[in-house]
Amino acid sequence: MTLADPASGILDATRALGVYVHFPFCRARCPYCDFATAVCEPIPHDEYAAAVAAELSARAGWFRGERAPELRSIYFGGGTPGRWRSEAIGLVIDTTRRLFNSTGPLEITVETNPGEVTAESAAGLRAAGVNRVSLGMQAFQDHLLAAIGRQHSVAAIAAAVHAVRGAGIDNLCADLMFGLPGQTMDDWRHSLAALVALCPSHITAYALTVERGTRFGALDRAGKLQRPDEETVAAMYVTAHEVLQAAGFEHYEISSYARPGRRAVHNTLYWTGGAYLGVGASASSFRPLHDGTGWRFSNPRALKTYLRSAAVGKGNPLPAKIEHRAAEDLENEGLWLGLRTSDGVERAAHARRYGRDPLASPERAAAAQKCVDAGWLSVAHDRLRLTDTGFLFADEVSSRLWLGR
Amino acid sequence: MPVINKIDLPSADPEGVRRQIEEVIGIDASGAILASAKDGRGIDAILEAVVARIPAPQGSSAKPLKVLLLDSWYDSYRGVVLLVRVVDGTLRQKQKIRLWAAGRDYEIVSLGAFAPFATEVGELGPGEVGFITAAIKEVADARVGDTITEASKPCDAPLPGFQPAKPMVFAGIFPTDPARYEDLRDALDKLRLNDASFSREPEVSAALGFGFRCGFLGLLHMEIVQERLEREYNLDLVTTAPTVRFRIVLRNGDVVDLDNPAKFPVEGEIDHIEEPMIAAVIHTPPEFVGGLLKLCQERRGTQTGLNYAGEKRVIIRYDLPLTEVVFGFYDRMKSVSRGYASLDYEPKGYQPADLVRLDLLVNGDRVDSLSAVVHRETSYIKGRDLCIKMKELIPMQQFEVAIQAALGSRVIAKTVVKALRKNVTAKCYGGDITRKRKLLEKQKEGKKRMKQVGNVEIPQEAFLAILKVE
Repeated sequence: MTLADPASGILDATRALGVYVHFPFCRARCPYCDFATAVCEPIPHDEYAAAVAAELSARAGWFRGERAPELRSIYFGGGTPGRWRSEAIGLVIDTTRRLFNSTGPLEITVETNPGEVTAESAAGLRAAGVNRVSLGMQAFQDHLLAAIGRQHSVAAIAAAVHAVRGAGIDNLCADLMFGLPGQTMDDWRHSLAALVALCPSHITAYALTVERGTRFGALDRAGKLQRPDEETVAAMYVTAHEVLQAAGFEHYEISSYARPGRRAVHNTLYWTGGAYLGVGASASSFRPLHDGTGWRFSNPRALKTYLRSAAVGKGNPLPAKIEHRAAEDLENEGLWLGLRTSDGVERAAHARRYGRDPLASPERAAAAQKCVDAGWLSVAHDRLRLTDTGFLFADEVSSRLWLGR
Repeated sequence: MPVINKIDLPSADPEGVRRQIEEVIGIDASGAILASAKDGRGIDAILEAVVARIPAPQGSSAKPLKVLLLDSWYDSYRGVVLLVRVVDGTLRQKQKIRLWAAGRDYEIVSLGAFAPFATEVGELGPGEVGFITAAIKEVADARVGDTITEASKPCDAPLPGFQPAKPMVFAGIFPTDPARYEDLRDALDKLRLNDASFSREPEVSAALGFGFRCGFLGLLHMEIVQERLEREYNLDLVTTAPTVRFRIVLRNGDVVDLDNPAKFPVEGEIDHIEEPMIAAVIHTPPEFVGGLLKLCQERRGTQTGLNYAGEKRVIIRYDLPLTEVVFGFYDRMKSVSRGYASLDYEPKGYQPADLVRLDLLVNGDRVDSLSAVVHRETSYIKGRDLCIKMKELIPMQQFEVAIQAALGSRVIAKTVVKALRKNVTAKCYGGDITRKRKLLEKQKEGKKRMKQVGNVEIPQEAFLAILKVE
């Protein structure tokens, strides 16, 4: 057992478990996307499925213990996993189910794009065991979809929703973006209204982030990307909050809205310190340990490197990045991740898990007081949470609490 | 006595170096000795030259003790170690000595010479160089150039030419975290153990809280001290813009030495102000002369000379106000001359000047540590540029921040930093917490380097913004 061996240490089996499967293949690369994606034809469906299944088998042991944690979710992200042959998806789901203990309900999500869904493909997903589909709708204006390099049209959105529902998958999520080049407040209101009319169970509404190394990043640096200003983007955020809450959605995380009972099980694991095993190129994992420390590790980003290392390691590619996080680091992460949710951080639960109250240190308590004074944070005897305004300043609050000043 | 070393190297070019010595330094190098310390060539010639060309010591061991202090340093086991050269008389073990300028007596604990390693000796006579330890606790007592004599039988006059190092440039140093004031004080005390040439006295700033006003020999010295405090003592510091020591003659005849713009008297009380001048010597290749002359003129300089020394070197002499040099002259000179020009200067008294205090107001409150003393003629432009610069440097806050430049009660420029509308990263995708954490960490580190002034957070570099104003 060496220090950099993420298999070492005893797993904290009290936390729920999720499995994330990364499928990097896309029809085209979006100019704002900086995730690990690959545009290649034909897609090596079976080769990739075999690599992922082998990796699952090889790594499963790291996430099992005497009291194996309960598997709550399988999430196919990408890339565009909706393009994966449903038999391959079925194989990965079956492999996962066989490897992990799961007695309760299991959320199985696949991300896809409106233009990629047909009645047949949706039926295939259903047959493979998928019970939740996330559609990257992004906008309801063809010119905006074109501006951000999306391959689908507005007309394809309703068709995709129809196909998914027709296949018997009623848990439907939608991704929507604001702060897009050329987008007006009216565009945004229209998108929200059009989306609400489709009655999804879950909505992720997020602002365009321009990342370095993307085409938008290059354009932005050259001063050629015309985007709404910060003030407008902030106003769009507030508009989403108002419109979606009025339509019966619960704003339960900074960018996430859900119908009652339809919060994302998988993403909630990320925000609440759950364990997760990520397989496939670039996938990240978190292996929390019994002693309060934990392992974070991730796979090689490049598809070729991933497939090669998976083949060499007989399905057990050595993670490209491995970090052992100390208990106090995880405590801090637990705080800022928890604050992203409307539930916030429950003080007693936090203290049970990390051994101290989130405001135990006087420095942090002082920093929290400043955030309270600014109207961003609410501190009650039982929990800390961001206010509605505070959601817009989550990073500000988090970095202040972390610094303790 | 020029010696050209390393002539054993394959790339050695002794003739080229000989020419360079004459062109760049301007001394006759025709008799330069060629040597290689590695293979021993020229060593005899060097030793012979030392004997032949350097005058023998003239001192007498019969005269009262007179010793020149060449250097001193702090050794944590032995206290201050003095490097000395005996001029007259004889240094002996256990002798009682007196440091002239410090006016203090000590007993010699050990006496020795470097041969080349430290070796104890019984005595040191005229012309000999060696070291003394005498349980001296502070380097401040052992000033380079001072005379050492025997306590019981002092010589009648010290060696000529001694000048105590005098601080020329002053700046306030404050901890970003007010709780670390004590740490800063301790660090300064420790630093002074082996660098006595900077001065420090406590300063209280309305904006920055408790700190120290420190005096330095020059800008480089200031940077070194600051750097050492941050690195060796792990302190996060805010340093205010450096200033010189102005002499303010008041209407009532009092003379005030002002090294802190925050303490500038009200204009009605001032009769006139004098500023320290320097005689600057700039060496440069000829192609940059135009740009450098323009720079010196802009900085209120008076030309006192311009000579060509060889084809590739020009010596420009200017009398310049020290305050203009402190405000980023060096950086400008380097950029104008693409790094080729070099600057050397020495103080040249005081001269009257029409100076005013330029204030900076943040949300209506004067920030004392951002005030600067500037020439009246350039004050408007400086004020405007300073506001623009501050707008770039101060990050958006929870509320709008107004930045104003003012002369007395008159506001001459204004900019506004808009309120922060949001600070949130939208997604935590695919459980990649590490990446998100790094973003937050960057923000945290940025905040760490901010100083809270009133309810506005100002980054460290903003306190030096005046230096960046052209």
